[in-house]
Amino acid sequence: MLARSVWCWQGVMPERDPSSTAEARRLAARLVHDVGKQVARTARNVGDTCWTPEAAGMMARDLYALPTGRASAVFGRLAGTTVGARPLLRQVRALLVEIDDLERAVLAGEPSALIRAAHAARAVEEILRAHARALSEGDP
Amino acid sequence: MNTSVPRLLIVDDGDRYVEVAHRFLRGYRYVTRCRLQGPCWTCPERNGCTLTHAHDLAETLEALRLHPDVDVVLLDVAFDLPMERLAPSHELSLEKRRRLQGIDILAHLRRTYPELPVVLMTSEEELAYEETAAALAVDEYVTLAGADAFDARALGLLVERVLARRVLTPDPGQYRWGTGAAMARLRRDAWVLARTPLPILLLGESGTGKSALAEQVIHPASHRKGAFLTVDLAALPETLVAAELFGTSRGAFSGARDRAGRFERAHGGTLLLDEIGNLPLDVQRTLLLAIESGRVTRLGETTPRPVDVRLIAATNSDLAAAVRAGRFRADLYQRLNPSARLVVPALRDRIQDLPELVACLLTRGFSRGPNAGLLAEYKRAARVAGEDDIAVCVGRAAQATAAVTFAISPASFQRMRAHRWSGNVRELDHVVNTAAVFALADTLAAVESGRVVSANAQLLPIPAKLISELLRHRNDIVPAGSKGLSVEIRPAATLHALSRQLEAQVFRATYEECDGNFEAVAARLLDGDAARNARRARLRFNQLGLRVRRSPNRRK
Repeated sequence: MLARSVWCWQGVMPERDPSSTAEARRLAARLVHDVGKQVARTARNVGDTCWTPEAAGMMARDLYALPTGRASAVFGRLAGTTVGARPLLRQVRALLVEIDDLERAVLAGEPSALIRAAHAARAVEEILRAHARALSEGDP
Repeated sequence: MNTSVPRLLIVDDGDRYVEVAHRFLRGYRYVTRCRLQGPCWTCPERNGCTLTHAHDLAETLEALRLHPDVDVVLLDVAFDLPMERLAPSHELSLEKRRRLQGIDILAHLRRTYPELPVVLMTSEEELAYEETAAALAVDEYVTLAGADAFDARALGLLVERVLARRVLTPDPGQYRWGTGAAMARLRRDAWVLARTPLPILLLGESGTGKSALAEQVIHPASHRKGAFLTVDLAALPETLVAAELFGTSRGAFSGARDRAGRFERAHGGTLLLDEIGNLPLDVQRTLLLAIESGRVTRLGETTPRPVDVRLIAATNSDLAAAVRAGRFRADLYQRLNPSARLVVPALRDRIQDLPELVACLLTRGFSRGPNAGLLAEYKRAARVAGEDDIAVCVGRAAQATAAVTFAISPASFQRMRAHRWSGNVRELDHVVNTAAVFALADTLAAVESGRVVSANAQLLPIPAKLISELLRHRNDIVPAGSKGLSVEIRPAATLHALSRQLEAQVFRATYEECDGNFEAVAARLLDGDAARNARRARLRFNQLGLRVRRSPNRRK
């Protein structure tokens, strides 16, 4: 996995112009890989009624303790200022804020919070993939 | 293959896949680098444990040494590891090496464990390395892109598919599969296709062993009770092909009598049509009808007879090109199932199997015919015996391990490795058996004249000069169908520039033909020791401004 590679990539890669199409595609792929796929890891494998403490703990790590940090923080670091210009990324940011708001209840294992957080996590991945697809199909 | 719970080894630099597998795929046993029994998820020390899986190539090999009975390896593609922990690679960019580390690990595994099923796990949307992985005979891809990323169910289905496929693959039998990835892939595909009723198209250069594959592998694996028959269509006059394949009835033509054709005689069995590209156009139509209807009509008859024949067509020619040129019917070509064709690799593409093949060919060559008589005569005269009749060893410190052990010097062996082998295994068979017969006959003469004491009689060195001469003679033979070297002459400012331009073309063409092997290039272009000349060839290659081809699919 490349999730932990964010720090080293940021360390060696020069700043790139996020407005260029190629760079936007590259960023979209990184967001799918480092955020979308990671936050939905447990959520996609658990139905709404099957939350064991172990699965809840796994999802909490997906949302709040990825190897690169909290999902919302990773997203913020990667997406930076491009969020404002892209509606899909604004949706993702809103979902991640919702996930952060649920942190205390998710860590406490409250079923309704787990279900809401899982829905939001799956939505984050879907939207980020849709965003990447749109860019690869030429939508600026 | 275990009959109990399948054993999986996960190779991933992090633990994200491991967590998913341990949590959601508990129907398997996970190979760890830990010596404790029981699944990890019941272990009291599981928190923070790093022995649950392999994180890099070294740990993968360690786990496989501890557990040689692994059924499937689940291998991540991108690894964020420090440089010293990455597998060796020709790639210079650290970022690319990390991004495709799984492919490098896979290449290493394919050399050491050629038949171990590997499932690649990646989230890459665009699989730039797909061809590389296919060339390395990866069983399946888990393209965890889109909805499948971290999807335990999708991963489980894929593992089951790989396992089911492996169950189909029985023991190798007599056929020599060697250790190469291309042959491992051929083996799996051959066993799968053998169990279907579809016609099989076998492709490969002359002498690669297509007929042996059909007879020793596909026919037995299809469990058909009938006979295995071969028709060499290159050896039959065009006018006799139809009669030979479909049979004749009395009076069909002058001198014709009631006679079953090969199709009827292969009823319930397998019919190999070798050199299918030589089939006359008018017979192609009849063959197509026979394949489609399962019935053949003897020449001179009007009533078709039902036949149940498994058809295998083999050729070393480009059938698709023959179709384009109008020499082969497109409908027959399609009926031969070209999309599922089996390609037998050339010997130069499986050169790592050379020692095994040499030993096998010598054992076979001396097990029958006049060679067997010569060997028996030698054993009597030299009073030697052993559990095995024949063995081969390579190296300076050769030791006799059989009644007769042929010793090949490292230099000779190196020369054999660098040889082009355009005649493939058939050519190798001729070279090694000829060399061995000469060596045996010479030693027999020495034994009979009392010059060899019995202590040395079991070890027979094959003279390097003999192998060298045999290979040089073979190099002089231009195989049918091989491309001659053509150069394009473009006017240059000076004679020096012209000669340099021509030399570059010769080097480039030879380099391509030798598949990037500078020893082989040196063997073809320079006199003397190929291993020593390889460095000179490479130097000159660089001086001419030519570029070494990068490993496949690393272009980005």
